[in-house]
Amino acid sequence: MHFTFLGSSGAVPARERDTTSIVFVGDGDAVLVDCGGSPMQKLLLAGVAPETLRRVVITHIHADHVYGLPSLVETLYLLGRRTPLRLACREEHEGALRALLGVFRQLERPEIFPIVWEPVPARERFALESLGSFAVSASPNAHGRMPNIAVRFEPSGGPAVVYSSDTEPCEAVVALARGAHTLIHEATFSERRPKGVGVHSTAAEAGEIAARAG
Amino acid sequence: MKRLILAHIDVSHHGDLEGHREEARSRFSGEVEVARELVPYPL
Repeated sequence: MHFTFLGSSGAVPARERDTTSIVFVGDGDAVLVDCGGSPMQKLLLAGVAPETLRRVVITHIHADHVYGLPSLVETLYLLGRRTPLRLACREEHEGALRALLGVFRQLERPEIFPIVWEPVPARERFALESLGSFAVSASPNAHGRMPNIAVRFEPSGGPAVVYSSDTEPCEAVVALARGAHTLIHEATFSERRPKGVGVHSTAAEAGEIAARAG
Repeated sequence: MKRLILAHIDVSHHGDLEGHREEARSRFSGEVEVARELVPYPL
């Protein structure tokens, strides 16, 4: 089992870094967290068989975290997928994501595989329905007015990994990361320069959160 | 917490990723790295 970054940049991609998304790969199954760039190409470059994708988690609906979703759904369909795909998101975002997929009629074409919606409430350590290789839980973080979640992946008997998603320093992320082996934390900015646009963390703040998570 | 991986790094900092890593290391004594794309991290 492993995880792979499909991207690691902030909202603006660069020649060598795409917008941040991560795939967690288990024993015959995979979960994608956020969906930028060209997700199908990135999954293939990462060596992930597209048919093993069981769930997509959209942490929030800023464009860099979600704009590849219609492309992913369409290409999975074109590759012959028939099995349902779970789509976990903040409950406030289900309508917007339905609208996004609706632009391409991906929810109404009967030949396209079903999307199973998994609305995530603003509750700390909310456990998603158990399936596959990972126990997945989520907590709300602090990304200004945008509802958002940090997620924790826990393989059976393996080390837990927590991904903060976009956030300023947040107690709920510290709590979610406690006891984990690895914290993937956003570090959009640096204390070496004034912060730019958006509610984000610096690299120093990411270090503080990791230290506090023990 | 054994390891911190930095991600979602603004494009304005891509030219000084080592500086980003050092900044985080000033607050966290565990392993710190900047995310590497398309490289598997074993679990």
